[in-house]
Amino acid sequence: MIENRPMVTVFSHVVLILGVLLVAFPIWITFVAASHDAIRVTQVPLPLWPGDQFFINLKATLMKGGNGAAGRPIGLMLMNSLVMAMMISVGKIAVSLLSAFAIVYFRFPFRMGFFWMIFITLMLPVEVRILPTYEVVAQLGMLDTYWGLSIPLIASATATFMFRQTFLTVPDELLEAARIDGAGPMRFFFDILLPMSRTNIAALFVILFIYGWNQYLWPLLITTDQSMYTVVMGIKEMLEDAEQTPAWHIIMMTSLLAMLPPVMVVIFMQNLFVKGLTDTEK
Amino acid sequence: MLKRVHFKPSYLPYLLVTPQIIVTLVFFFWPASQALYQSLLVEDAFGLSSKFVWFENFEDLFSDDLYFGAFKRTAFFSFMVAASSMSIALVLAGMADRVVKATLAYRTMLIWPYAVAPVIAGALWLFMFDPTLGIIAYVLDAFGYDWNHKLNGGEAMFLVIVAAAWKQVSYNFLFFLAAMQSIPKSLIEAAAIDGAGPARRFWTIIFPLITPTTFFLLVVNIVYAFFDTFGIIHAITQGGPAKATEILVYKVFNDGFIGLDLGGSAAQSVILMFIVIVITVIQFRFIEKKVEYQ
Amino acid sequence: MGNVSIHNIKKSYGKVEVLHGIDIDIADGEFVVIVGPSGCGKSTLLRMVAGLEAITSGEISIDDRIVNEVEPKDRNIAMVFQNYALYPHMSVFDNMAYGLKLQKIAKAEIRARVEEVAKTLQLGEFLKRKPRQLSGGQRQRVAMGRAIVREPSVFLFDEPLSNLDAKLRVQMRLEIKKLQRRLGVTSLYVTHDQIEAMTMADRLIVLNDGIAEQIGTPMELYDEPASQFVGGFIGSPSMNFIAVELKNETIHIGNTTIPCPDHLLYTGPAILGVRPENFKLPDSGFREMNLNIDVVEKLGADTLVHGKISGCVEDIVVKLPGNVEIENQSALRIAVDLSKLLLFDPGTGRRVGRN
Repeated sequence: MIENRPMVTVFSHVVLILGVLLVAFPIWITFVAASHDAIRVTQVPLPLWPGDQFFINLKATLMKGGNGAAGRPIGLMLMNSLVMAMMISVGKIAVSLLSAFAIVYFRFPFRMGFFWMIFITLMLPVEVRILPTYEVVAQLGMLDTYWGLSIPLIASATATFMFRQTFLTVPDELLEAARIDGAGPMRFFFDILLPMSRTNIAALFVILFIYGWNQYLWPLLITTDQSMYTVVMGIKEMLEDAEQTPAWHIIMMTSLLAMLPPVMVVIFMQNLFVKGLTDTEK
Repeated sequence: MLKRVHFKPSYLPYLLVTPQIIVTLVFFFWPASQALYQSLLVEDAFGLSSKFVWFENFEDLFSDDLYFGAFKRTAFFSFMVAASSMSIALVLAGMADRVVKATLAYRTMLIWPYAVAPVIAGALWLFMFDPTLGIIAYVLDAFGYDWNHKLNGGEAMFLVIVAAAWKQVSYNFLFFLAAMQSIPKSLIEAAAIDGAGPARRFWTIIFPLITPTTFFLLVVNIVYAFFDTFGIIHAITQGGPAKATEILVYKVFNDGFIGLDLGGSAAQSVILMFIVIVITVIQFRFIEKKVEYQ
Repeated sequence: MGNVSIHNIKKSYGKVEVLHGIDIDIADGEFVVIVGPSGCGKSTLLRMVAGLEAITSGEISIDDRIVNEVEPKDRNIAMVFQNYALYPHMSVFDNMAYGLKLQKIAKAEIRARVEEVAKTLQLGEFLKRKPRQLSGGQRQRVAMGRAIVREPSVFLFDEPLSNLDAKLRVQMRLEIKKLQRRLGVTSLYVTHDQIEAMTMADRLIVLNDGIAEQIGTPMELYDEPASQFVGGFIGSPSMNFIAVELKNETIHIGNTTIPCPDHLLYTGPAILGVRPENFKLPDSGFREMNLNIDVVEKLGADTLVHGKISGCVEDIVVKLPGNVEIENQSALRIAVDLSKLLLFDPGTGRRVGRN
């Protein structure tokens, strides 16, 4: 602190605490709603203090799910979300690492052509090619499969650029030393480049896991089989049911469960998360 | 771009880029070209035959008040989301930068909404504002305000803006804070010696120095509001009431998947594509400047 | 066996030729230093021997085998890089063992060889550490160790000491020299530092603009530089060059005339080269000239006098004993050792007038 002005500091803390409360309030309400029974949740006003039904609701949600048509165990959806998030993040990292390696360490015809093709995917988010992409996936018979959920999303210009950036900072002499030591391209890639990039890989993984877990529009389009639903989609389905038979305690419990993995990742891997965000925006 | 030292030419680099290039071609280029092609077609009501109509779909769109309305709505929505989440984040970051020892603790408590899926964010805010059950609707009612976003378009718009901005504050906060922390302490100290108080220092030293970050965030926030808020709207309002919250991305989805108007939806996709291209170009132009600035 | 033969080696990048035909035969066990200013092509030459840089034309052979098309790993060489190029994520042991592992040598033997080398380099206690936990000098030794365990027929050094501070540099250059003596491995060493070059080399190649100006032992280069460039590059403080005129067996330096020594056979304008230590205070009135003093630097053991000879434009340096007393005077009478005078052609810079 540059000068000693206690009032300014106190003011700063007050504003920050208000900010934290503002950000956290919806989560608190979610938690409270998830800990009361179905009847209490529908009584106005909602209590501001948690009830004693948390674990009962948790069990009901995991095993049984919501009311009516949405009555399916959330456990399976969590599983689907996990598989999809893992496939998307691992897939993106793998294909991007390989292409960045090719583009940085080899001179070959069409090198820049490939680079630009990957670059252009930045300008083609799912939202602008919804229908035709759906048709392609349908023709390939990938509707309602994990492959269909993940593969169309694993091209990544951002990740490729980030790895390209990382590789460019690796000193040339390391490659030369490795060549003198007798390492070929793939050996160099696995023995030297990958271990040296592991922080970047981890940081990117954190970001991509959140990205994958939170996918919504894409799974909404290509899954009709309810056993393939992800938890994020499950919420939406419950909301629709809520119009007739509200089960807000289950919906809120599901929301908690659905946000838990990515939020935990952000909080406990904060440094990697921050690094990932700033790296991918370069 | 390329290492000075590289490996001998071989088939290997082609193998290495193959997975990404296949995905790119099959799931990006081909569908995008299909969207372009379909945007020039009109299908009959049964989807049995289609006719090549040049730019008729686009002409229809541009003369369609509904589409024009969605355009204006999207612009308003994006502006409000960007402005509100950025200004809140700027204030919080400015404060967090001051309280040196507690900065990281506050950062932890402020950044996690980034990880909440848009649909879930929608569900949370929907629950709080539910006209019959919602705690905030209840409080508003106590003050004599009858909240019902299911009927009132303005209220619906307000709610999706709040939910979208709430999620984005963390991202903006993180970048503002990082930018402020990268300003050399000596600059701030020099200003303090020159007699500038905390508020004046913020507006005359810190804020101008983080301008590149502010521009960068503006672009990112607009992209976010355009494309990443689909889940929020889908959860809270489904574009209603009476299309009051139907933004462009939602309309593409609605017209294509629900309304099954292939040509019209494709033409909208093409326009969205064009917008993304413009934004991407601006972003990369800008990032070049940022590099120079550093 | 560890002889290297470099025959008419040329290197071009596109249309730009950076090495214009280098020839040298290096005997087994010899320590050859390639020295020259930055950009002269010395690293390129070394990297061509290593196989890291394609050869445009000419021939390089190692152990009597032409290696132009041979992969670096199969050339039986080891290289020490300027920034050491240690693998940052591997321990010291793994750094040294990596090449051996790739050669599929048995684990037990790798361990034995690495530990043996680590012992001679006093790295034994650091084997489990990562490079970033070591000091600059220790990293340097690991880089050396990595080269030594390969038991190559040639060591290649690319400015290995330039990242160290001055004191450590002096110490490491002694260590490298001793080590090379003991192992008896042919070494090719690139540096821009002429002191390093002089102290370490059995033979030197002075490279300038892609041309080998001179190849020879340190003292040959010092006493008999083939060109003005070599004369000026080798030795510190560097050789003085003064434009002179030779006629009638005398040398006209500014407005002074001195007799032309027997070993200089030349007439006409030339560049006279005199090393600073070949000046002295006059003991008789003969061959003297007048030096207008600019600055006097007292170094303790020596005194460096900067100034100009009367009638000349060139700044020169004169090295006198440390105990010389120079009061607040503006000029000094100095004499020159006639037997050490050198002449260079003013146009080409080549040595002339050699008897």
